[in-house]
Amino acid sequence: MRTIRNIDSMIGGNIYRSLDIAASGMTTQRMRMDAISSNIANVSTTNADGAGNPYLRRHVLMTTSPEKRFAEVLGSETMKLKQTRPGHISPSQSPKRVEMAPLVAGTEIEMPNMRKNVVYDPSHPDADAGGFVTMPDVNVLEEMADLMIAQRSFEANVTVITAAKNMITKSLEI
Amino acid sequence: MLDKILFDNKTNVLLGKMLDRAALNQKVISANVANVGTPGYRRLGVTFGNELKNAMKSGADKLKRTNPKHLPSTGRLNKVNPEVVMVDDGYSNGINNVNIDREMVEIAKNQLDFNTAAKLMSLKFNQLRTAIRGR
Repeated sequence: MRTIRNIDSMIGGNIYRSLDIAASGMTTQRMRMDAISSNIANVSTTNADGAGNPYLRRHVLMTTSPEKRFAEVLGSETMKLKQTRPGHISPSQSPKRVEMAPLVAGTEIEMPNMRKNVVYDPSHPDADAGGFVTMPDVNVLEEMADLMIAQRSFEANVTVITAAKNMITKSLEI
Repeated sequence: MLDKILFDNKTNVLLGKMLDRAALNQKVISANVANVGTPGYRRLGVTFGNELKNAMKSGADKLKRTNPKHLPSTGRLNKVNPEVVMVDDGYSNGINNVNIDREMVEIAKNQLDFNTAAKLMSLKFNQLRTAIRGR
């Protein structure tokens, strides 16, 4: 069997674009849920790497996908038009090329430990020379709020998919 | 001769191909969803590649049309079939490259593809029916 990089749907990306975008949104929100559950589960993990360092909080960075590349930006900025008469519209006012609405992509990153959460416990195996144990920089309340946001965003994407599906189905009734 | 005029025209053959593809795609998506937890599984997809496009563009057939009233042959189009391929799009869910959200959306898209083709097919046959009734 042949292996290919990506597959295009038959009718083309246009009418299904909103579905693809919402799917990417669902995927990133799911990723966020993974990060949040990991943060909550590891709220008191003092030894995450075997060397006595605490668990580092996971955070999902959202970026547009595909990101606007320099060449694209440059290409859309320079319109090779000359103003030869005062009535001509200046090139900067001329309409820009319309980009396709981008998908969203998430990257999971580890946030550095700010050492805000230090407890004195000299008998703890992960205590430093001064007897202090660094706890993970995780605030469960923040995580719960993030969890709700991720859940609602996921639902919002599902709503988008339902609406887009209904629109296409309705157009078949014309 | 009659069935050639009625059923073997380009529109019907293409819509038939679209239905074939949707039917095959449904099976492939089911396989992907079923294997979401199978280590080493690769996501499958269905594609015509460039074959359908080429077959549509070239229209190269062994029959020569010497009169503009000759019907175009759909011989090459008939031979194009959707192909199951492995998709390697760089995604990973930790076990394999099946993205469950994407599969759900693919099911929705596939359903819409199927409904669109079926609707167009039914419109096409309604035209024929109107012509036969003569009103």
